[in-house]
Amino acid sequence: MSEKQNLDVLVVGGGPAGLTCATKTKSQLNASTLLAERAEYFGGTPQSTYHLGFGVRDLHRVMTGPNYADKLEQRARNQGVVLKANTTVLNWTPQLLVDLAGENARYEVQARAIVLATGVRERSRHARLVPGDRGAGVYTTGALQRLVYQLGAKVGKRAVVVGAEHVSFTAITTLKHGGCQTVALITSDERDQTFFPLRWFFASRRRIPVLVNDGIAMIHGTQHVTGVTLNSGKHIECDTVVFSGDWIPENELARKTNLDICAGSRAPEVDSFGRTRQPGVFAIGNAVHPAEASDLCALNAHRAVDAMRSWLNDGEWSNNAVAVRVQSPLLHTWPSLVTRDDANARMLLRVSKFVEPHSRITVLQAGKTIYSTNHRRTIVTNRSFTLPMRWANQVDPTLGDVEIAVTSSV
Amino acid sequence: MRDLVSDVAVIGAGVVGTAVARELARRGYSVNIIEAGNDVGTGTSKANTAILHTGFDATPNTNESRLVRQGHDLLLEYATVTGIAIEQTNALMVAWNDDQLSQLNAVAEKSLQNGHRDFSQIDASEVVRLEPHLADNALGGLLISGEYIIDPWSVPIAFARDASSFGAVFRFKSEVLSIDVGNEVTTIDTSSGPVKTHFVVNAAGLAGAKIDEMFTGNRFTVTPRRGELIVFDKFARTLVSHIILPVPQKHTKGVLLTPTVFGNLMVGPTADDVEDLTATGSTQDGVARVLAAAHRIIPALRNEEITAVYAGLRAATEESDYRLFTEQQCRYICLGGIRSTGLSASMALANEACQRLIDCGLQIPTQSEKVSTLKMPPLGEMQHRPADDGQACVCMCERVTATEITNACNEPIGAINLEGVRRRTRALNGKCQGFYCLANVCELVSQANAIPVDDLLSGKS
Repeated sequence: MSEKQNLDVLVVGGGPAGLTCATKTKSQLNASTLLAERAEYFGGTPQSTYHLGFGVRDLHRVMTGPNYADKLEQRARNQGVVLKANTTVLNWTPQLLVDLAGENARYEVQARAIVLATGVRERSRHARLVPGDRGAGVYTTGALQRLVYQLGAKVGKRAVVVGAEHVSFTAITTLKHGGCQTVALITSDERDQTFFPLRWFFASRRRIPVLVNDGIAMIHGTQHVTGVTLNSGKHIECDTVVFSGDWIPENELARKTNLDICAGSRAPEVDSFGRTRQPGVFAIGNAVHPAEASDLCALNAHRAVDAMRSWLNDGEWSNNAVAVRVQSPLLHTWPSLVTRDDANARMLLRVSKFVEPHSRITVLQAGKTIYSTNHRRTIVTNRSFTLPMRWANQVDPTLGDVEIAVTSSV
Repeated sequence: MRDLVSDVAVIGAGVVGTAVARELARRGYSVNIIEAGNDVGTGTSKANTAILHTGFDATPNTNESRLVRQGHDLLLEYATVTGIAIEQTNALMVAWNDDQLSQLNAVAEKSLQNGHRDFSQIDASEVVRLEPHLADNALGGLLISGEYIIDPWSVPIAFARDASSFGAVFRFKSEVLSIDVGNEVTTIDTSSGPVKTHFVVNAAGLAGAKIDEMFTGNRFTVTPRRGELIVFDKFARTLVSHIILPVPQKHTKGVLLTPTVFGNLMVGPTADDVEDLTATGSTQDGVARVLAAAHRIIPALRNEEITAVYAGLRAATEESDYRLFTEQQCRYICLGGIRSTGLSASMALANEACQRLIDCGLQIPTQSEKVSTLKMPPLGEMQHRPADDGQACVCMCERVTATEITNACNEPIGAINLEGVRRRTRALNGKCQGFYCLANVCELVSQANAIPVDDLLSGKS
C-alpha cells in the first residue's frame, strides 16, 4: 500500500454516465477528478453495441455505440480527468476512504465525493433459475455482442432469444452477424415491448415469431444446446439460447457500505441528483435506473454535477429526502428518494405487467393524494414511462414515504 | 508407452482415480489413467458440496466411516501444503422441531462411535448467537468441530499434476470398451486404443458397476442420485459462518447450506434417483425445492441474487457403504459406490487401493518414494491472489487475471476448454456468468491452446 492520494471526486465506472459526470465535474467545477474503470477500455456498454442511435439526446447527433463511447472518453481526457483503466475499487468506507487496485498497484484515495456509475448487467440463465442441462451455447446479449463484434465468433445456427424488449430485437442482428438465424423470441409478457418499426425491421420482415405468455421450462443438451422446452409444452430445436434484458444494477459497492437498496430495482436509493442518503455519495446512470438508453444516463449525470457543486462548495446535502414506495403493478422508480428540489425532474417508472390506456397515476403521502393524473397511453413492461415531478413541491419531509400507485381504468 | 505394460491402470480420473494414480506413481509404479471424459474431475467430482467431512455422522464400522476419517486428515495436510483453498468453518446441525431435537442425541452417539469427540450440543439461544441470520425457530443444535470447506476442483487437478510429474500417463477421451484378463497381462480395449497392464483399479464412479461387470459379472448396480445445488452471490456468504446441516431423518432428506472457499453460499443438494447416467441437468422442481429450503432456513436469502444452479450425480448402489472388492485372480481392485464422500476419503482410498494391490501381489518397487513441490494457484477468497496486487482482471466478478487463465491452459493437466478454465481459475463462474468477460476469456483460451474460438463456444473441444 503506497501513499494516500487526496482528491475531490472519485467516479467509479467509465460508461456514459461516469464519463459525462467526470467531464463536467472537471470542466464546470474544476474539481480534481479521478475515474476508475475496472475494464481495460472506457465507454461501458456502448463500446460493444454496434448499432446506430447513440448520442441523440446528449451530443445531438446519431452515432454507433463505439463512436459514442470514444467521443465521451475523448471529452473526459481533453478536460483533464484522470482516467484509470483496469482499476477496481476493492473497498471503501463511509468516510470516503477508498482502497483501489490497478496498474499493478494497491493504493488508497481520500475523496470528498464518490460517484457510483457502475452500470448494469443482464441476469444470466442461472440468476433467472432456468433449469436444464448446461451445454454450451447459452449467452446473455452482452456476452453475445462481445463474442460476435470483438472476436468475430460464429455462435451457432439456430437461436432462441429470451425477452422481447429493444435489446432482444437487436440481438437478432447480432446473431445474424454471428452466422446464426433466430427462430423465435420468447416473452413472459402478453406482448413484445419494442416499437412497431423496430419490431418490423428486426423480426417481422424476417418472419421471426414473438411467442408471448411463455418462457423456457428446460434447456436440453449436455455438450451443446440441442433445444428448449417452453412452459407451454412447445419444443423448439436450437443450438443457441440468448437471455436478453432482465437488468440488475452492479450494486456491490453500494452494498459494501450499506447504502439503502431499493427493493424493486436492487439499485441504491437516490434522488434525481444522484444523491444517496450518505453525504458525499452519488449514484448515477444505469446503476440506479436499470436500464435506460445511454444518452439518458449521460443527461442524468448532468443533474449530479449541479448537486456536486453545492456539496463541494458549501457542504450542502439533502438530509430530508423521503423514500418512494410503489404498489403492484409498479416495480420501481427513479428517483427512489424525493425532496422538493426534485420538482423539475421527470420520474422514470416501470411496471411488471402491461397497463391499458387511461390508467390513473396517484401520488400519496401519509394517505393523502398530493397529485393524480390520467395516463393516456398503454404502459409497457421493461420500458420506463415518465411522470413530471412538479408534485415534489408538496412533499412534506416530516410525513414519511411517498407512495405511488397505478390503477387501471378497466 | 502404448505398447509397454504398465504396473497399474486406473480407470476413472475423478477425485478417487487421480488420488489412487498419484499415490501409486509416488511410490514408483508405472501408471496409466484411463478416462472417458476430456479432463480430470468431469463426473461426480465436479458438482459436489465442497466439504471436507470428518465423517462424524457416517454409519459406524463401515468402510466409509473409516476412510473418510483417515482421508480427512490426509487431505487437510495435502491441501495446506499445496496451497489449495481450505477453511475451517465447522458445522452446525440444526434441529427445527422436537423430533429432530431428540434425534441429536443419536447423532452425538454415532459421532462418538466414529471416534469423533470434538462436538457439543447447544441450545436455541446459542444457535442464534452463532448464526444470527438463521430463521428464528431453531430449537437447538449440534456444533461439530473439524469440518472444513475446500476448493473441490483443485483437488483432483492437484492429484493429477502430481501423478503426471511422477510419471503417470493420462489417456483422456478413452472410454473402456472391453477388458481381457490374461495370465499376467490385462488388456483394456478403449475407444482410443488398447492399454496393457498388470493390475487394474476401478475408480470409474458412475460407470463403476459397468466396469466391475467386465471383470466379475453382475455384482452391483449404480443408480445415479441427482443432487441439485444453488450457489448464491457473494453477499449471501455474510449470512452464515458454519456449514448448516439438517438433522438426518428416516424419510426426509434435508438440504445443507455451506459457505464456499470462493466466497459464495451454496445450498443443496436434493437427492433424487434417476435412470440416466448423463442426467446432470437441473429441474424446475428440484431448483424450487432447494430455493424453498434456503429461504426457510435463512429468510434474508430472499433478497440475494443467484450466481449458479447446477446438478451432479452421485454413484449410489444397493448398499449405503462403499463397494470395495479385491479380486486377486484377475489382479483387480474395485472402488465402487463412493457416493458423496469421495472428496473427503480420496487419499485414504488411495492408500487402501495400494495396500489391496500389494496384497494381490503387486511388487513393492525398489525406487524410493517421489516428492512433489506442487503449488496450486491461490483461488480462495481468503488467499492472496494476483489481482490483489493490482494486476488487470479479465474476469472481474471473480477477479481473475489473464496470466492465471493462460497458466491454467499451459500447466500440466491444463485446461483445454472453457469448463476446464472455470474449474482451474474461477473465471466465468461469477455472478455475471460471462456477460462481461466471455469473449476475453475465449480469446485467451483459444490462443493458449491453439483452438478456434468457434470450437470453444460449440463445446467441441
